[in-house]
Amino acid sequence: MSKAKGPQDLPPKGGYVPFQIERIKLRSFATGKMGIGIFIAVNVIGMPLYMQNWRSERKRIIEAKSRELAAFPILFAENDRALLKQLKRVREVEADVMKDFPYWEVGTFFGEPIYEDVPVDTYIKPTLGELYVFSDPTNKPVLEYIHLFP
Amino acid sequence: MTDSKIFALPSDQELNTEELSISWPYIAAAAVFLGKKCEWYHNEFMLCRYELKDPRKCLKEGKDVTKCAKEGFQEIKKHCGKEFEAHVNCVVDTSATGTDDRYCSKTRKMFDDCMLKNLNMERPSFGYFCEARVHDSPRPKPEPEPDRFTDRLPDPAAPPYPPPKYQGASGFNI
Repeated sequence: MSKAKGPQDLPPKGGYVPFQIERIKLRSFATGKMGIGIFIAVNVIGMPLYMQNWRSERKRIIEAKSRELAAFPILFAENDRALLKQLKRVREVEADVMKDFPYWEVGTFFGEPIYEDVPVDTYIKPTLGELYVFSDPTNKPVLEYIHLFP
Repeated sequence: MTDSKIFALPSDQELNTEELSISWPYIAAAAVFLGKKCEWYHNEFMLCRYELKDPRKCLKEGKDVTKCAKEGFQEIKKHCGKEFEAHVNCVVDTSATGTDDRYCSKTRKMFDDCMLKNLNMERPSFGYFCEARVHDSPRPKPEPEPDRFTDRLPDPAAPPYPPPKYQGASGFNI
């Protein structure tokens, strides 16, 4: 074991720096009072502007809704007829497609109806899949209700 | 049931009628005038649709609505065609959905003036179609659906309630 040469490491002259145990505060750019003041100022200036905008926006919304409600009967009347026509067409196509399949009854699963606890000849709104069952899937509307968002 | 042979669908003769061959921006632009002109037919159709919940039973009312709208469009085209076309073009150019006319007050004013002058139709007041109104229909009221759940629990007591058995709400103060 060789002996260490030269002087050993010693503390610097005057001793080590004392440990930092005091709290260092962050630099603050705004005091509490200033924050409250900014809050009040923003609200006092902004609220009238907001209310003004809201009033005009609300007026616009009511006008759009009024226009929409006036137009809906015209659209519904045509839509109902188109839906019934499509139901007829789907029934004809299904009868044609399944004519060679034994024991198949149109609109049922081998004679078993879709809904068992409703009276016969009840209208139940068909789903989109029922209406587009024999058509090209790319023809199915992606955004069904887009017209409801003016 | 929805599409089986028992389900009676109307004949082609009942379904086919002269449809509106016009696009949505035109309908939306003329909607308030048509709604005012055909108000009775619209109310009758919507009430039928709401009460019976069956499009097969409201085909006649629906045809009346389409016929009335068609007549209205023909009148507009005959008397205010140019103004209507200008207004719709402006709406289509400035709005995303082809209905919002907030940047078209000038053409809208011209269209309204023309409608008032030539057809004596005033634009309905603000929010007219958002108001609730009573419609007196000649069609009899439909029968309420019979109760199919015969073994259900009895209905709760009607408003003059009996006194509580176990101190009511204060019984929970343990």
